This record gives sequence, structure tokens and C-alpha cells, in this order.
Amino acid sequence: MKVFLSYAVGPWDAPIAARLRAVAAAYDISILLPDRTALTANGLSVDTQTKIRQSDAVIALITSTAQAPFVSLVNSELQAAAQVNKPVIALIEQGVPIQGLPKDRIVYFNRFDPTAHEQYLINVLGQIRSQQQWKKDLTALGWIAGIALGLVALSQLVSDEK
Amino acid sequence: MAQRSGKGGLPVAVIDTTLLTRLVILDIAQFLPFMFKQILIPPEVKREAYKAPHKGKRRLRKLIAEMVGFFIDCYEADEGVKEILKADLDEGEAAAIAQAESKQSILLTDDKKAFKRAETMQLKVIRTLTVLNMLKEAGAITEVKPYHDKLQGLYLRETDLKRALAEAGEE
Repeated sequence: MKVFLSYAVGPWDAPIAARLRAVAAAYDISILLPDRTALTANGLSVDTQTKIRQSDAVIALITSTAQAPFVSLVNSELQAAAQVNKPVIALIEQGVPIQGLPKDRIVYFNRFDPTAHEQYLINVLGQIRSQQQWKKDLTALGWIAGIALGLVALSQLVSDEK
Repeated sequence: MAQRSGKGGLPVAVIDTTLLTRLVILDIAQFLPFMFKQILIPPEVKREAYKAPHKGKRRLRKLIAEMVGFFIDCYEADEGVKEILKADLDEGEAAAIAQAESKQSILLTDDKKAFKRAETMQLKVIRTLTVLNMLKEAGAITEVKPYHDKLQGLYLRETDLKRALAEAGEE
């Protein structure tokens, strides 16, 4: 299974993408990351567009520490995912203003409250199951989303310790 | 995309213990500059390679000392990634994958589990047999077969050896 991770996070949360990739790989799930170095006219690199097409699903992660240009890139990547009809779960930290995303794909989370996202995530997974022809294991997708949020919380814990 | 040198030249690679040890035993580690700009060695890999019970330990120390600037110690790996990988890989392999992930470099490993994990993590991974074929292509060695013979018994599959031989045009 391949999951494209579109992300906009602050510097402290930056290792989350690589850590998620390492966790997922242990379960034979590939996390594909965007290449944001050679953007074309639509704001996406050719490599990123290929990866989105190749992926089985897209998970977006936006934290409150993200800079606006990166949030904008996530929006472009999600639009590309929508165009090729990929199932999307958008993990958005509470308080982050986000536009243009369908509400039934958003999971709001609070890094200080590990249960805040649970119902949102259940709802989104239910929507994906009912609206899209999902042929892969939906549990694995929910699990990846949950791990991503766990890594955000862990990043906060480590930051508090320092 | 694997990291390349600024002059559009050779790529940088991270090496793990098994492959480093094999290349030293085969006496071809000194040819790696034909293929790579630098070889990054995580401290965990160096420690394991120096401790491991193999014949080429003295040669390895000498080579690393002589090729300073080519064999480079590296410490950039994310500790979190390393710890996650250490759950089921050994320390050297975990450190090598984490380092390759951090620098987006090529990974050189012969460990089956590490190879698969790194591939799933979208890293470019190269094994000893491919290194041999690349060295032949670069003109550093004339034949791969004698090295294959030396590798017999080192847990390499017969099918892999045959395929590598065919790719080198020595079937």
C-alpha cells in the first residue's frame, strides 16, 4: 500500500514525516513524500504529481506551527489528489484556518488532547468507505493517520522536556 | 532522488556493516571512488565493523585511515527514525537507513530485512552484487565471477548470483 503524505509543519515537527515513513515501512506501507524543489505552473512538481497518482490514498497533515506557503502547497497537493479521485484524510490542528477542503475529509486534532480527533477520524473513514471504491485495508489507512497524530503529540512531549 | 555531488558527478552513499565488511574481505573497497563521491559511515556501523569477528578488520581500519575524506563519519540521522528502526533491525542497519533517509543518499546494504525496509521507505538501495557489476562497468575490475566465487557461503542466493552474472555478461 502506498500513501502520499502532504504536510505543512513547523521546524520542530519537521522529523514527523521521516518518522512516519519509518514506522509505516515496518508494516510494508510506503509513505510517499512531495518533492517541492521543482514546481511547475500548477504549483506542483512532476514528481509530486506522479506520486499522488501512484498512491492509494492521501493523508494531509497541517500543524499550527506551519508557514502559510507550505499550507498553500498542501492545498495544491490535495486538489491534485481530488482530481484523480484519491481518498483523502486531512489532519488539521485545531485553530488552523483552512479553506477549500470538504468538511467530511477533515480530522481536527489537538496535540495536547490525544482523544480529540477520534470521532472525526471514525467519521472520515466511514465517509471514505461509503463514497469511494476503497479496495485496500481501510484499517491500515486509519492506523497511519493515528500514528501521524501520535508522532505530533510525541514531538510536543519531547519539546516540553527540553 | 539520491543525493549527488554539486558538479552533477558521483552520488553519495551510506554503507552498513555487512556490505562494508564484504567489500573489505573481497579487497575492493578501495575502488568505491569509481562509483561514489563519498561513503558515509554511521558511528554504529564503524563500531560493529571494528568489533565483528572477520578477517579484514585490520585492513578495514587501515583503509578508512588512508581514505580519509572519502570514508566520512556521519551523525545527521534523526534519532527518532533510528529508534523506530531499531525495534526490529540491528543498530548499524538502523543507523545506516536513518542516515540515508536524512541525506536522501543511496544505501549500501546486504542485509535482507534492511534492504526491504529501505526500499519500502523509498530509498535507493544497492547490494554487493550490484556494486561488483558497477565496478566492472566502471573499469575498476575486469570480471565479477572470481568475486562471486569468494562470496559463496555468505548467505547469497544462487538465483541472485546467476542474475548478477548474466547482467555482467559473464554467463
